[in-house]
Amino acid sequence: MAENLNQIGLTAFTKLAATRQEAVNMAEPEYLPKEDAYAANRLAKQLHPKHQYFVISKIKDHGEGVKCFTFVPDTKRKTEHVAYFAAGQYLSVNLDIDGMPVTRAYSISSSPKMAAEGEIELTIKQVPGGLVSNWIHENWKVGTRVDTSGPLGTFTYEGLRDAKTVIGIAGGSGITPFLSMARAIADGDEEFQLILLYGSRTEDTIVYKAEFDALEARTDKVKVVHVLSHEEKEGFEHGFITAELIQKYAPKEAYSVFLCGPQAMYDFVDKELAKLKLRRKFIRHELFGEMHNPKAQKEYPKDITVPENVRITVIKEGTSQVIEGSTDDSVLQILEKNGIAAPSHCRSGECGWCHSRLVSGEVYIPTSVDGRREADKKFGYIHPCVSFPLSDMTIEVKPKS
Amino acid sequence: MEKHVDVVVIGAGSGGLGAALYTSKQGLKTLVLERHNLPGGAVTSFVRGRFEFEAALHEACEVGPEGNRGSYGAYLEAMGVDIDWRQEHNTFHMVVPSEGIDANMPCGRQNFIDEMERQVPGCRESVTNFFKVAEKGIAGMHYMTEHAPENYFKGTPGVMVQKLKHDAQMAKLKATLSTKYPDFLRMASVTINEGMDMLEIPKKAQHIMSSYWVYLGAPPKEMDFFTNAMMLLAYIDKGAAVPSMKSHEISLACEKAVREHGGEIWYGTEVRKLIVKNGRVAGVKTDHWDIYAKEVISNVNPHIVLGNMMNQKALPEKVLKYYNSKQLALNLYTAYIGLDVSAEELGVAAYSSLLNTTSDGDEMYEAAHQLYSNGYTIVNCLNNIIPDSSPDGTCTLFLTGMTYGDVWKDVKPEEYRRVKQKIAAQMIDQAECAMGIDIRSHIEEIEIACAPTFVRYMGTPNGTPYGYQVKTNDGIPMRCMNEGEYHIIPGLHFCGATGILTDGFNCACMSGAKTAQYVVEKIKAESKKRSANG
Repeated sequence: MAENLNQIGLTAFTKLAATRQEAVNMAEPEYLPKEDAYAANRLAKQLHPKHQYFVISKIKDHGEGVKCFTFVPDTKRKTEHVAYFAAGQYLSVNLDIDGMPVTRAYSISSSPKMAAEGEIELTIKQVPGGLVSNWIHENWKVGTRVDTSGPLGTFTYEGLRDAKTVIGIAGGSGITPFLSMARAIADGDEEFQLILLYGSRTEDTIVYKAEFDALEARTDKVKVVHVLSHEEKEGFEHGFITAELIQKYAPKEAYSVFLCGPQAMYDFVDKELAKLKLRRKFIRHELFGEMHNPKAQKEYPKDITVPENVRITVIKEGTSQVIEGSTDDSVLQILEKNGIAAPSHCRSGECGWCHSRLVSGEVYIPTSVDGRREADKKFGYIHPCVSFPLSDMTIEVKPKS
Repeated sequence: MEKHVDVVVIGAGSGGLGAALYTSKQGLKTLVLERHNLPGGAVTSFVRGRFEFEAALHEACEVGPEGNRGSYGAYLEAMGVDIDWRQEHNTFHMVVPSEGIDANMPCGRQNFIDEMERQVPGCRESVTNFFKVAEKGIAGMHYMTEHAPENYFKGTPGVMVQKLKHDAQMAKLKATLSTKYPDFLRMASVTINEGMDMLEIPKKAQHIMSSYWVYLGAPPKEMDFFTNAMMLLAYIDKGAAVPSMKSHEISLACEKAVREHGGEIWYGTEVRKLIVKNGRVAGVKTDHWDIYAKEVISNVNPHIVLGNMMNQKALPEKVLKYYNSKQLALNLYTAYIGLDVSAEELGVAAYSSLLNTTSDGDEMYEAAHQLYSNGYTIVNCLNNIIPDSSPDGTCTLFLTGMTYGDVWKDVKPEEYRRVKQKIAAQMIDQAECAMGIDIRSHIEEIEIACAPTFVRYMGTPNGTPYGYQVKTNDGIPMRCMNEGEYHIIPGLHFCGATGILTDGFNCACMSGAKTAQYVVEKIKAESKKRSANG
């Protein structure tokens, strides 16, 4: 049977070469197009821009140290559209605070529909003693130009994964992604039932109360339960968000729990959730941002003497410089305090955007925020946003685009 | 700022790293520029919750077990790249419920033939013949490219490289091929279907044996018989392999070796323009640097390089016609799923299941010219090779489907998420139905990637991971015979998925090695010339 192949004369191969040449001859001598000529590349650019340049068009003060900033595209800097996003995602904002290049991740509080219409909002609460939020409140005015990332993050509803009902648990500024979700549900852009347990101190301090009242009136898929810690009042729950409270509002069938709030809230609610014995897939936490005070962590190395300050040799595009910093700060913070711009987004160890090579030296990485890949650990790669120096070290970082 | 090196490599994908390994080991000052924050391109992984997902690899070809390495495994070893490979002992599990096909095909030639006979009684002789013919063909291929692994670390230029230096020898090469390796030329001249028909392989057996076509992206009626035979044989003879720490391990191990050889890699550095001087590419421009190099190797798809990084007015018409004659390869969509149940509890025993609504590759190909699933879904369960690749009591599934053409042109950003959820749901439904398993109740994490995702991370035209379509007149034999085309622009040399060995982790890497070999010879020759003149 193998002889059958011998039916093919060797000229067939020569002919093949000729058809190949023929295809070249027949082709147009046109210039190859720019990336934008390909549909998937255009779509990728719209969905995942590396930068979005905005101008602040409106600022609304909600009291309680909370301001909502409305952005529109800065066409002068070639941002033509607001990238569409999924409710629950965040933007990483690039700032220069007196020569210090920093980033901060803020959940988008407006609806995806609003983005399609050309506007997007971040609601930012002043953190007492916080560097960036206070700077923003003081410096951002109508007309200020702001540079952000594209939409990022995975704290979003996924019908293939999550239950049809989501119990949202929000504390403080953790309300912002839920506001976006509730708006998306009312707009018909998300299809799930949201029961929001929203913790505030007193009725007067509830941020976006009127907005949520209006959303509840617009759709029966959003229900908001206000939980007041410092006030007992008719029509409000009182105290903290406990297992009993969750059960009181939970449906009989399976439900997902989404949490967004400060670390202290997670510490409390996680213990309550454990009592409910929910499957892990039904509990999702939004990232809570930077970890401070690493030395207070139980697993922080005790058997070595960690100096107060360390010297870090930073290599970037083949050139190096030596900086100094405190072992209380993350490597990323030390870079920023020394005026070195290095890429970062989530600042919580998860997104991996700051992925850098630790050439030498030791760092402490809290297990709970170690979002590295297995091979990163083997080959000495770290996420500087959650790595705390334990010794002098050398690190190779990327330039910021 | 200005910098001078011997070789600039644009892109740290499989091809770019494959090239940099060689040039740096040969002592050339090598600088790899990668715009993304990680190496690898498709050779990567990502984390969601408590799961780390393999991003792209189904099975690495040509790795081979220790002591019997294939070309890829041997090359990486010779370059000092240390990877903990795990072997898979089956090729694929093909399931076509509508045709009653449920074929779990083992590695090893005899095992494979026995199983083929069990699946399609009476096919034994023709399948055995297929292997004999394929082996002869591969010998011809090895002669032509000298891509037998031992030639790489000896540092001797391959026959093709020599031929390119001495055009006159091309005739001799062709003469040797036609006298010593006629089967190679024959196999290269026919499509998969034609070749299998001639060997009188029954249709059903043909469909099973050509089911890997999707990994090369051109359908059986258009792909050359040789390219498919070579890939199938490589899997059957050397087995398939996966790295123990997902593909990110391959990329980090490669980049470590490049640095150990004295090479440099800059991440987050995007090449904006090529520097052209006296009609040849003399370097690259980035945001902060003008980097001059004796030669520039591009792992980036030529369509992107020409369209975005150079002034095409300076290019001769034949170059433009050449690239316009190419067709972009297929597109994929993938769903990465972390389940809160073990593979055993889920009921998935195979690593790689190919689920089809038809076994006919040509039908599948025609049906793939649409946005949604064409009914061909590949299901990989990594836990069946590496049990602890996800936490205890969990497993991961990696679903892959394919599509062709400009199918994303009518999808608006607002619709994108729903479209990809629908595609993932189609693949999940098919897997649940064909494999009799319950995926949906156990999804703890899911990430869905489509063409825009691949564009985001790889920057290829239309997000194709596969370069150009591997058709009969542009399969491995024809690309190798025309190796000079990869050096058609003076000073610039292409490798990667569009390279001479077509797509795939091993092929892209080895095309990088081949390109690097050419570049090393060229630089050595130039320097010899200079010192002779000097």
